[in-house]
Amino acid sequence: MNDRNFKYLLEKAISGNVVAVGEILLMYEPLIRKYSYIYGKFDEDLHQELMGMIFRKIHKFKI
Amino acid sequence: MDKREDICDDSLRYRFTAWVEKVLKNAKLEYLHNEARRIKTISIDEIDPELLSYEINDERCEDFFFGNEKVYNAYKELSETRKRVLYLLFVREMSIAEISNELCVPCAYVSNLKYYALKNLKENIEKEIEDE
Repeated sequence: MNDRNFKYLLEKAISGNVVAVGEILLMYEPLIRKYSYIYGKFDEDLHQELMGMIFRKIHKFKI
Repeated sequence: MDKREDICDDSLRYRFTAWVEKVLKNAKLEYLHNEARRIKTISIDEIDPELLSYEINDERCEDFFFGNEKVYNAYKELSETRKRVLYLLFVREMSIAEISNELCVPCAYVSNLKYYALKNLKENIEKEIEDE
């Protein structure tokens, strides 16, 4: 995906398009996974929580 | 795409990634904070089967020896949790610490339940006496 698509996707996600948010979440999943480790152990609940947090807060990001 | 747009989109991607990292960091801190205060739970398979078997119902009143019918009626009106705590305390003669361990709840909660159970029981008995 090129960068122009990224801007378009982000705009759609911010305006509330669930499919776009899903794609962004998929794109950032490795980063979310990185933050889901507690004392070196993967925490499924935390992973879910972080995914949910991005999902809930993405509309607050200002382009 | 010309070069200027390229740079613009790169900076957008960079800003968005930084924002996501900030959100993730805060959410993780909040999660860890809540985790520390959350009551520890265990899988239902790990619970002592005997503990699960004593369901609370009216038959359980027979576990107590009620010398007086008023006391029996007053006990029956208590909520399930309070009945359970009274049962564990006085029939099985467990200490508050043991109960809190077995039910996986904090000690303070058990002693709180005990206090209100006894208070409620007393009030119920008084009500029964007044009604007569």
